[in-house]
Amino acid sequence: MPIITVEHLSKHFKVYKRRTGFWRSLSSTVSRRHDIIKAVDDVSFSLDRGELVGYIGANGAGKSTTIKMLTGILVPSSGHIDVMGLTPYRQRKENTRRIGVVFGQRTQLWWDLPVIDSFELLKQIYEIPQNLYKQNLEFFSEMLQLQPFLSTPVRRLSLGQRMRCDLTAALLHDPEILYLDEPTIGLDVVAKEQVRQFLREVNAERQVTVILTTHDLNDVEKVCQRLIIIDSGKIIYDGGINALKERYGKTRMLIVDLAQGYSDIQLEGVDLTRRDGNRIWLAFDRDTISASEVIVQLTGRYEIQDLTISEPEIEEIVRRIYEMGVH
Amino acid sequence: MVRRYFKLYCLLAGAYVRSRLQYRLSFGLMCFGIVISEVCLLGLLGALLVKFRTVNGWTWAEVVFLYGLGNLAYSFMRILGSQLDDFDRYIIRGELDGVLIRPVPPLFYILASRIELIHVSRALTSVAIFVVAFHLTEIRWTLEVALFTLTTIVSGTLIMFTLMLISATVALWTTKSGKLTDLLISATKEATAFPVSIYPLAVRLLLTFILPVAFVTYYPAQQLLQKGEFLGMPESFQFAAPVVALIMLCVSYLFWCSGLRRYHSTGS
Repeated sequence: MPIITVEHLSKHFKVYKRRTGFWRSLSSTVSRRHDIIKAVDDVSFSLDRGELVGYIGANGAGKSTTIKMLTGILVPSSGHIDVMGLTPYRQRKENTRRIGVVFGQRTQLWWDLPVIDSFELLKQIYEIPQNLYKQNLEFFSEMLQLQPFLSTPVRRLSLGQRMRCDLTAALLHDPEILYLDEPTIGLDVVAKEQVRQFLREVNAERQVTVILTTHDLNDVEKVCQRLIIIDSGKIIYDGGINALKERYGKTRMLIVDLAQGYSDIQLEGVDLTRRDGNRIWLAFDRDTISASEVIVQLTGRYEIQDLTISEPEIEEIVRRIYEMGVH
Repeated sequence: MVRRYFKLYCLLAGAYVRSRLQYRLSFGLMCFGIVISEVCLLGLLGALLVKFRTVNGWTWAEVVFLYGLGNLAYSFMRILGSQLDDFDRYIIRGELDGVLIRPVPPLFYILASRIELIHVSRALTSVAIFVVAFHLTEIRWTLEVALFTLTTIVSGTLIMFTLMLISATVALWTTKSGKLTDLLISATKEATAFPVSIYPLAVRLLLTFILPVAFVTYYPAQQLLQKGEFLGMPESFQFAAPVVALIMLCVSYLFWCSGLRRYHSTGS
């Protein structure tokens, strides 16, 4: 039985047109024309308990709007949401007790107070029993090494430290679902890795269902089992990451350093996608031609210094899906 | 239930106060400034009254009493609604989302999250002013008078608070409401300091039926000072402040709820 079911979910915003010029802007306050923006457009999916899902899309694709509807902040224009048997915007309070939310861009901690004070306040807000609170706090501060800065004011923490605290704050009340809106934004490589590792562990050890939105496809590749791609409010892909690579990642890239700058390069079954001095990038479809065949062709005609084959990065695949749509 | 919310209010407000105390110097200066400005205002009022003797048949002591009463309600309102004078930042910075993910009523959470101590220092000043003003008048101190005064202060605080809540709520439609709230705050403060009888009829009607600040000081003062000056309004208005406060509470809360529904359906 799914923990989250979303059916034909849509969210339309009216955007009022403002006109320039004094009289025009005055008249536009009287008769307002508007455009309808379909931020989320007929989206359906369902999640099982314990899943770890990446929800990705370009800026303005509708990621945050979806998350806001799932958390009960926004009311859908149409469609149906069921989260643990609740309708989030109608049963907002019951729903919030059972979910944790992290906004990467905005901390939910008390800015000028020591970290531990925020945790204590959340304990009261969520009415967390003392022993559970203690147990969870110990668990998370060990896992995320919070001990050294528990009594430091939040404003003096580094971004990475603050994110670790925000993660703890969202999980103290033992939520069944954790929503993360761009949890790795602005973090350095080490901090990002720490967050990813943590999410994997929380998911595995505590059976928390995790949904994260992100721009960083490495997050998805390293953390998620499943990927939902949204573009212009519509879901354009929903499935496993390996399946995505299987389906769209057939194009491999051969990067070749030539011994000299040949003026004209002719090869069958291969696209020359880029050239930079003596280095060339060759794209080929692994279903029509094998890597060894390409190399045989290449060595037969040109003198080569070095070559590498790169597998398609998920980023590349997603970029291609955005550009061309799903085929 | 009540205990939980009382505790939570204290904790959240306490967290805010502790945050502010991180910046002690600026806090101290603000408090000092407030006290000075209150004393200056009162001095100005005194100077004017010494020159003109009476305002529309109100003696110097009576006007100071009116001012003191209004100021008391005003400063309690500012404590209670510390968060409302720049409520629009909740919309502009998207902080309302952070409120809506907590298992607590949003208005409660917002109000509890901030208690401005400078308003507490203002309230202490106005208590002092009120005590002095009370002695200047010829009001006899009885239990009935004490209860009536207390009810008046509570009702007055609530009436002013609801006006502020309504103007802050406008931000849920327009994104910004700071200027409107500022305007309303200073206008209501001025309006409670003088007898409503000095204004033209239209303003009197406005202050009675639309922005009912006349119920904060003017009408209750009729009872306390035995003025019998009703300007053609029913005499029962002198006792009506709690009823007006209750009506305003309902109206402003419904308005708040509809604003929140709108936020729910439009987003930031």
